[in-house]
Amino acid sequence: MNQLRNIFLDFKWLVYPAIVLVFILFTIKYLIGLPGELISQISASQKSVTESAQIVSRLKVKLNTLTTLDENRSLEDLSWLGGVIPVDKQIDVIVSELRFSASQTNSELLGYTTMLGDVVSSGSGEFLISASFNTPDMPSLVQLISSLNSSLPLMSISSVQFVSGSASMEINGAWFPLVPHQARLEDDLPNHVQAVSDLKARLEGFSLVPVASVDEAVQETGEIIPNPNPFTPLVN
Amino acid sequence: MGAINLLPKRNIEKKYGPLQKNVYLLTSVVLTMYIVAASAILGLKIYLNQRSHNLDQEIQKLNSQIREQSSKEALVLELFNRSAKGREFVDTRPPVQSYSDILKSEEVIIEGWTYGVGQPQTLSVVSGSAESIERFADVLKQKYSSITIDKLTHNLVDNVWSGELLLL
Repeated sequence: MNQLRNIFLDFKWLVYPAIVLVFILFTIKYLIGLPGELISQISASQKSVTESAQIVSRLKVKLNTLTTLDENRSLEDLSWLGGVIPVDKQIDVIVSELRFSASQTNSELLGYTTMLGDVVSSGSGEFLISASFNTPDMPSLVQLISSLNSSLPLMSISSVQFVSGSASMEINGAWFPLVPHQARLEDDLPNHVQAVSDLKARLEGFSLVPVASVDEAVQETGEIIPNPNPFTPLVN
Repeated sequence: MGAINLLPKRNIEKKYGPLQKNVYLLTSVVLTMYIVAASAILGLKIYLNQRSHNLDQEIQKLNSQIREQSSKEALVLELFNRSAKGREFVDTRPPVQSYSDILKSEEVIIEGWTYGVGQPQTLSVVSGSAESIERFADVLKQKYSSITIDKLTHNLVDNVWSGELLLL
């Protein structure tokens, strides 16, 4: 017994490093973590914090854009865009465009056939109108095509057949319905101001068909009801 | 009477004295460094957790503020999407006008023209001379990669040349 005590007394100076070693191992295991895990934990936390900070910054920009949005101007732009690409298949307007353009180019709209396509689904795209014109000559036809190509709502001409004095064309009218947007909160807002001004610049010189010539039904009632926002239904 | 330790105490100190000193010193240095490093690491972990918590709260707050502006967001998205559709429509529509613009001549009269997307075009022209039809065909080379004069007819009674051109 005494021998053991002596051995302990001889090596008691090793107790301090042993306690330190146990302390370090204990805290590493239960408090701090192994170096490999620790590095991955810290880097994951840092990454998460960086991502969150970026989201915060993006959301602040988004919120600022929304709070400073000029609603009047935006509604005006929306109204104009409704004239460029209608929210539904506005055959009357396209036919009025054809009639108006023909009258401006010594031509006459003789008739038209429409192919509306699927009328049930709320898809988007184009609808086809086959139109025939009385066109005196090629220069008049060129003018007619030019006029149609610079009219609003937008249309495209996919085929032309001209035989002295008469022309037939296949015309696609553009439309795009109102669709619910599935944007996530953290998604950035697109630069709509730039998009609208780009389109306005692209369509400079394009003209909307005068309202008075749009619809004979309007002429019959003798009353033209302006609808500044095509996305708001008219209330009589 | 207690037991007699035959090995003198002096000898043990002599034997382990320098090692004991070094171990003490080394342990103290390691312990100090460890405490400093562990404190720094724990501090960093606590800071990152706190920052992450604060940012999450800020995100929630901003999201709720943005949700209040959802009608404006819908307006912005509608403006952007509709503009993009308009742009796409204009940029991808068939280039009929660029063809029709070149079909102008003072020497020939164009009596017929067919145009279809991706299809060869045909042109019927009449003129007072075959040369003017050829000159017109030369002008058309600016726009068309292939021009074939399919048929050239000379009406001797009226002295009128008529040509059928196939354009690609």
